[in-house]
Amino acid sequence: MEHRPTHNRGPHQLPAGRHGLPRAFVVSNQRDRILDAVLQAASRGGYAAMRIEDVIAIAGVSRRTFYDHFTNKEDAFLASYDLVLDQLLTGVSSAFAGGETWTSRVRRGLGAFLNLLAAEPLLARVCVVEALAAGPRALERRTRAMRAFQELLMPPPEDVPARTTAPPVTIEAIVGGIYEVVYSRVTTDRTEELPSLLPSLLHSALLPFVGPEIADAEYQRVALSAGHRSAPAH
Amino acid sequence: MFPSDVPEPSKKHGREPHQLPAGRHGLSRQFVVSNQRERILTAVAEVCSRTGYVAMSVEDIVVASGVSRRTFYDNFRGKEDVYLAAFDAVTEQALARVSAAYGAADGLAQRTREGLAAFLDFVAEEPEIADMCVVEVMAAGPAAIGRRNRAMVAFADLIERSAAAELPKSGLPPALTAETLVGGIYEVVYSRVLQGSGAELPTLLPDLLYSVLLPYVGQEAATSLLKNERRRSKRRAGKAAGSGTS
Repeated sequence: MEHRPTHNRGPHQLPAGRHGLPRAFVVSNQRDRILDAVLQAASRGGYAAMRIEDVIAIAGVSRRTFYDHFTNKEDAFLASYDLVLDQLLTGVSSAFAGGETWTSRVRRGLGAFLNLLAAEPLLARVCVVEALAAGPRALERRTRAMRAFQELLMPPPEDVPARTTAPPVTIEAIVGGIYEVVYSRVTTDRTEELPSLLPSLLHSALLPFVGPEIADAEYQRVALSAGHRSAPAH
Repeated sequence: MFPSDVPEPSKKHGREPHQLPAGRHGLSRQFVVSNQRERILTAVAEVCSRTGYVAMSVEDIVVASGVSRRTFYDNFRGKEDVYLAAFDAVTEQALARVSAAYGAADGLAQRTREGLAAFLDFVAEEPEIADMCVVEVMAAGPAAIGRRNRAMVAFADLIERSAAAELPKSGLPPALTAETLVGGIYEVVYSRVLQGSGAELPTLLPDLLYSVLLPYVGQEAATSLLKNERRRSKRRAGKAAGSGTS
């Protein structure tokens, strides 16, 4: 055990009483701690089993502080889910934007997605698994997020060989297919292997739009460079 | 879905049509027990799709199935147990239907077409079951999720096996392809069922078939299958509209 001050303060708790920190800082810090605690509690035992007691114990805040910020368990979960979805989408979008061609944007975006999930298994569990068990409002957010990923991945017409005949549902199926592979790894505690799946997933995402030659070449290239380092290519 | 050959009941004593007559009815004990079990399992899909798994209670299932609380607990340990039994029964049925359709056709393209069509029809015809097995399963805890994952693997295996039988090893796409394709179909089905529009899924057969076959048969063959299939479904829609007005 770590040394604990006399009044049972956890190492992550702010000192009680006058500490000279501005009120806004304390408030946002408490809120962030609660949101972080929700991630931990929901990913540990699942959303259904998560209790507010668990959350406040992990966050080291009082029940009253919890209710100052959130109306109930669902409200706190949704705030936490919004936050991590935003992180995920921002991380993927900015990696995506760094590519010059659509093919390289997809490679970068998908690589960032898999790396982020592998690096943040709690985030992965909440975003990919628990959100589907947290009721209709969480599902609405998930639907919106899936659409955002679909739009991001949709190739601009000028970037893709004109002869592509991929029907409209293709992009939905690609995003869903990637989701499935991630879901099954996260639910079997193999989140850390996600980055190694980049070559195959990239192939699936590219094939309907760029054809087999380019998709195969990208597969080979990424598989080769993944062989040299532990993290996949960027 | 769970066939029950209960004799036509009378409406006396406030008995629901699916309930067996009380007292001595000359039915074997075994028949009564299996009938009760099936009624309970049938009720799970109805209740689960109405309330969602999380809010579903044993009480709701008891009421919907018309058995006593005691009979429920003679058959099942609780909510999760009964959900898993219903899920197993239904996925076994769905997988059998898909496998039969798949096995009755020849060649990867036709087999995939028939299997996928059977699956989409099943989902469209059984909205409550679809809701229970596709949407609510994700909220029903680790055991249910484990079963779902295994069912997905079984579907992916179907595709992989017949692709491997038909194509040279060098012509096969990367290892995760079948898993990704099955996941793609799942997502398309999931979002439709979630929005209550599962009935439109059979109309997506041509497009989904294209997605599934493309990695195996190539763009040219997949495109010509897509066009064929669109023509076929247009004809079907025309026929349905014609017979609908008569």
